[in-house]
Formats: sequence, structure tokens, C-alpha cells
Amino acid sequence: MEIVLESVSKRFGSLRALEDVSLTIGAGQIVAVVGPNGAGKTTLLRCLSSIAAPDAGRILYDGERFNRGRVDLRKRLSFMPDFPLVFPSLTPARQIAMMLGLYGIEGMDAAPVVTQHLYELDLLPMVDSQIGHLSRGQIYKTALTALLSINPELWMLDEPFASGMDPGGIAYFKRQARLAAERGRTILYSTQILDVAEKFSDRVCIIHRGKVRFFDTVANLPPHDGEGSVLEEVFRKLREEDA
Amino acid sequence: MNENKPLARAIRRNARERLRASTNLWKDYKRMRRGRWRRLSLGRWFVMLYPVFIIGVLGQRATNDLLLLLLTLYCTATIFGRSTGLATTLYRSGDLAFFMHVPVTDREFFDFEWPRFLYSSLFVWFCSATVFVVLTLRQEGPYGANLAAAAVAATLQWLLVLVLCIVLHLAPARFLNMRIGTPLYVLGFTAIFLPAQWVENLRWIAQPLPTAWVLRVFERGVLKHDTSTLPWVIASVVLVGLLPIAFQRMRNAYPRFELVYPLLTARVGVAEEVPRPKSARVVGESVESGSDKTAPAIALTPVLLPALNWENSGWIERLASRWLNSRDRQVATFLCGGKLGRWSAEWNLGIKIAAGGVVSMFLTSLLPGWVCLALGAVASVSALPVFGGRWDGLQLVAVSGTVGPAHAGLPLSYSEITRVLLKVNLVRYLVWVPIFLVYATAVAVVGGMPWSWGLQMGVGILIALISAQWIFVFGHLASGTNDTKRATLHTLGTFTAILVIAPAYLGCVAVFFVAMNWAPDPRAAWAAPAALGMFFFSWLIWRVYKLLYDRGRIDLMRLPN
Repeated sequence: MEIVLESVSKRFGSLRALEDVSLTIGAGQIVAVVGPNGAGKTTLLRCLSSIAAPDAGRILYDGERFNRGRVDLRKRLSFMPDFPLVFPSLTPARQIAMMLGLYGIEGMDAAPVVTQHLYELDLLPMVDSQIGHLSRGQIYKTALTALLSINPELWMLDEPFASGMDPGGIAYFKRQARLAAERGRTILYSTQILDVAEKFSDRVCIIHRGKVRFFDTVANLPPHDGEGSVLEEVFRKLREEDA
Repeated sequence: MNENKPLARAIRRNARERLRASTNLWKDYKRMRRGRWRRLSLGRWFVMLYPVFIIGVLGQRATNDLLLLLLTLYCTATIFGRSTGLATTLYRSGDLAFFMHVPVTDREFFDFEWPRFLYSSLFVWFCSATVFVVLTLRQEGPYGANLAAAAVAATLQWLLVLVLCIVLHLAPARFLNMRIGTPLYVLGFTAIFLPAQWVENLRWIAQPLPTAWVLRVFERGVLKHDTSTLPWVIASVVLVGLLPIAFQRMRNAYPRFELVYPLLTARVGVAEEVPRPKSARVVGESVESGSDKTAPAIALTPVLLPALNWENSGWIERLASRWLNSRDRQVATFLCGGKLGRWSAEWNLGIKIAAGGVVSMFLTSLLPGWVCLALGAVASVSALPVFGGRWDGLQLVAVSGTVGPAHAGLPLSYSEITRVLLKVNLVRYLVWVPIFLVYATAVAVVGGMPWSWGLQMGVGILIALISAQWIFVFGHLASGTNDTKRATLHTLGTFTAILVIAPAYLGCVAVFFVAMNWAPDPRAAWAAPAALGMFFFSWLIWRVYKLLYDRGRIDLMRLPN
């Protein structure tokens, strides 16, 4: 799925969360969205998933204009917030089945796939537990299982590496994301962990004060001679600019 | 949109097969799986038992008039409450937040929520049927046809409430709904203790309400074969007949405005940029030694480091701050959500409404007499913390799939919170006392009663409201806990004790008002012990709950409803 943002802006009162953002993201990439707190990362993901409606500009998926009314396009993407929204009274099995149903996956063939993901994420013994009684990491894994089982064309995840998942879960997510990208899926995630952004992503999108400051491969980031990673240096410069 | 249960079952079957292959995993599974019995929800049971409790306690003393009045008030309050609930579900709920993340249309979301709303409103049918059956059984037999009529009437009443809920939901002033609904619920409860003549009068006043039509038809038309109720039958059926049209209109109109992500709006308030005052103190200026000259000067404004200025806030806040010690002020700052000035603003609003009420007293030839009484009540509800007041720090917040009071993670004790709430609420009552008493006296004079009677009733109402503050504080502190979600020895013991004390409190309230009006002189000698009893039992309820709370027998979080 090709994603195009054309001069997208979003304001909350006097706060400019996104300002004139233009981007083109090709299929089959893992893109890290990084930026300081309050830079507009989550707002960008929310606009891309139609949870927030841009005040100006437009979003195109494969050339088609996207908005909340385009359920057909919404079925091709999935957005996982940092605290996934689940029904605490349901069991993981029922929650995941419901999510799959919403994406039109109702056949029994999905069951082995879901079971495999549950197994890999160490969630199998909790399949009949009430979600409300699970830990934050386990709740995140439940929602992640649904996303992996749906396997939409565009995955969007808000802070997946600060989700409470254990190292095993994170490693499994990384493997699955890489596999999905190789099969043409686009993975867009926000993070504050710059090491991960540099090593795990094909491209990095740096947002600052609602504007895209950089969108390219990590290799194309401006070189520096100091200590620390390239992205750390970029963040240091952004702070200096603010001052 | 369904829950895709066949797939859920298939996933479960697959998972269990896989789990059985490993002894350890199977053990883990058996340890963690959900209990076969749903956890007992005490709250739900209490609610279900409400009509049975009322009728059981009242027994034969519950006249038909009283039962029908209670049902009328309950149904009317429910219309307001449920329509607000419907608006919340459709526009601001956690369900909406969830469904905004998945590819469903707004119409599908509406269609998903509507049956749940219908299901939750069935309690109206249950209450109505209970009352109609009791009325039927009080008549001479045979009962067969009348019992069938009771079922039909209950259904008609339920549908009528539904249609009015929808109409109200479509009305623009939805924000008023709950403010009307709650006093009606309270009035319904207090009606139990009113003298028979008052009940009869209240029922006569309530008769024009649509929620009383079916009741009238059942009582007179079905049980007494009075054919004059036919117009009411027609009116009820016509109103219920509007249900499909009203429903379609509501369904087609949804959403009436752009849906906003419910969890987003809360964050926007925090993120909004606030203009920086010119008087902002700058760190770079105040820190002379050891400051890094290259570091940018960071403005520490009241916006960034909020320390509430009680002296420059409203006059009621200033007055309250004199009574609060430094710790109380810290607690109050949090409980106010970092904002001051609301109490004075509410007092100002109350005084404006009361002024409108005074004007209405001079227009008795144009306006019905009850208008000034109603305006006085609205003014007092606006100015006073009638139900304990609104406290942001006691509101529920969502944390990792659970909800709990905002103060749960902070080192604030039950007593500290209580002390602040009581002090502030008492100050607010005291500053409203003169207006309240003058107004009550004036209303009595306008109504042709002695001024002293109005004054006396004003004092009585204020004493009753103030005495109930302990109970409202308990209610605030119980909100967001799992006390009614788990049946343990401690919770059962506490609520049993409260159920025993609550009637004693209500009894004292009833005795107090009866003594003030009908007791032989000196009336104060009768009323004073009752007033003391009100304060004592109210405090006792608060104290009993404190035992449960302070001993850590409950969690300050629960699963969302």
C-alpha cells in the first residue's frame, strides 16, 4: 500500500499538532516515527487511521482519498495505541475473534494461525482468562496477536517497544514485522528508543513541533563526529534550536 | 457486527489441544483460566432487589398511590438518566474509543450499542411489572386476565420510557438531563416517608406526566373497569407507536456531529498552549552561581509550576482557605484538579437564579406558584454541594485496562480527603444559608403560609442536607473501588452494616420533619434528638466504610463497567 500525505495539518485549539506534513511511504518498509514528546507522532498515526480528522490536506492510500467513511480502506490497516483498547470482560480468544470478525475474517482456518501467535507470545495459558486480569504486557500481546493474525497491509503501532512486552515478545514482534515487510506490508511505528529506530527500521521519520524534519534512510542522516548515535545527535540539535 | 463466537471457540479448542501437549502449560492454563461462575456483582444484585426491597419493607403500608407515585418518579428519572447514558455511550464512551480503532461504520457501532441499551433498560419493565403484579394481587381474584394485563402494561410502560428517552436524546439540552434525573430519584426515595396526603397530592401533580398514563390506565381501567381512561390508553399507544419513527430518526441522525476520539479530548486540555505571563520568573535570572551560561533560560510560570493562589481566587475559596491548614490546602489543590474559583462561580450562578425566583414571586398572577419554588431549588442545587460537590481528584481515571479514582496512587488518607470535603462543603453551605433562609421565608409568605414556617422548613432542609454530607463523602470515596464487585466477608459485613444503619438514618430524617411540623410543643425537643440521630447515623455509615477502606480490604481500582 502506498501512503501519501499531502500538506496534512491538525490543530488542537492553539496547539499545532501537525503542520503541513507531506510524505510518501512506499509498500514493504518499516518506518520509525521519532520525535520529542508532544511532537505530533501519535497524532500522525491517528490521522492515518482516521481516528483524528486532519484540518487541512489529504491522505491517499494507493491513490484513493482516505477518510473515516472509507471502511474498505480502513480494513486494510490496523492501528494499535500504546494502551490497546480491549474489553476487559472478554477472554483473549473472544477478543481476538471479535477483532478478526471486524476485519471480515470469520473462517475457522484463522484459528491455527491465532493459536501459533498466542503460543509464540507465551499467551496460550491465558486464552481463557479475563483480559481485565492480565498484565499490561499481556494485554498488549493480546492486541498484537489480533494484529498479527489480521496481517493488514499497513500496521501502525504507537510505542510498541514501550508497551510492557517482555524481551521474547519484542523479539517475536520484530521477526514478524520484518517478515511482513518482506511480503509488502508497511509497518509504521513510533518510538523513543533511538537504537531500535536506527537498527530495526528501513526509514526514519523525524517529527518536531508538528513538522517533518527528516524522512529518509538512517544511512542518509547527516554524519557527525561526536559521541552517541546519529539520531541522538539530531535530537540534541533540535533541542538547541528550541533554546 | 458480531462477536465471531464460532472462531473464538475454534481458537479455544486449538489452544487447548496445544496446551494439553505440555504438562506445564496445561497446569498454567488451569491455574489462570476464568472461573466458571461469574464473579458476584453485589451492585447489580442490590439494584435488582430495589423494587422488591421497597415493597417488602413497606409491606401493607405501601398504598397503591405510593407505589404508583414511586414508579412514576422512577420512570421519569430514568428517562433523563438513560438518555444521558445513551449520549455518553454513543459519543464519549470507551466502546466508541475501541470501535474507532477498527474498520466499522458509525452505523454499525450504533447498531451494536442499541441492543445493549435496550437490554439495560429492561429494569424499567421489571419494576413496572412488580408494581402492577402487587396491585393485581391486592384485588379480589381471579387474577389470570389481570396478570396478563400487568405484563402488557409493563411492556407498554417500558416502551413509553424508551420512546421518551430517544426524544430527549434528540433534544438539544442533553447536558441538563442528569441534573434533573438525580433529584427525581432522590425524591422517589424520600416519597416513601411522606404522609399519605402528600403522596396523594404529589401523585395528582405527576398525573399529566406521560410516565403516569399507563399506570393510571392499569389502576383504573384494568383493575376498576373505569372506561374513562380510554383516552389515556390511546395517548399511550400513540406515543409508543412513535417508537419506530423516533428510533429511525435517531439512527439516521447518528452521529449528529463529528465523533471525537473520547480519550483524545482529555489530553487536548493538557496539551493546549497557555500564554506565558509577563511576570514569569526565569531560572537564568534567579540562579546566579553554578548556572550554565549556555543553557537556555527556562521560564517557570504558574502554568508550569501550578501553585494555586487561594488569596487571589474567588471569595469563597479565600474564606475556605482560612479554615484549611497547609496540608488541607495541598489536598484541596489536588482534589480541585488544580483549578480554583468554581465554588464562587457556582454561588454567583445560584444567586442569579435566585434573583429570577424573587422576580417570579412578584408575578404570581402570571406564573404558577411552583415556579418560584422550583427556581429556588435550582438555585440551591447550583450553589450548594448538595451531593458532596464535584471534585476532579475523585474522578475515575483509566489505568491499564482498569479504572480507579485519580487519588488512588497518591498518599492521601480517607480522613484527609474527608476533612477537606467537609470543611469546604460546610463553608459553601454557610455562605448560602442567608440566601436560602430568606428565600424559604419569602416562598412561604407568597404561598400564604406563616413566614416562621418557611424559615423553620429552610433550617430543617439545610440541617438534613448538611447531615448527609458524611454519606456523600463515603459515596465519593467508594466510587472506583471494587467494594461491590467482590463478595468477601469484609465487604458483605460492611454493606450489611450500612444497610442496617441507612434505614435508621432515613428514619431520623422522617422523624425530624414530622416533629418539626406535627409534634406537640416544644417541637424542638422532638426534633433535636432526631437531628442528632441524623448526624450520628450519617457519620456511622462513613465510619463503617472507613474500617473497610483503611484496613486495605478493597482495591482502589476495578474493571470498567
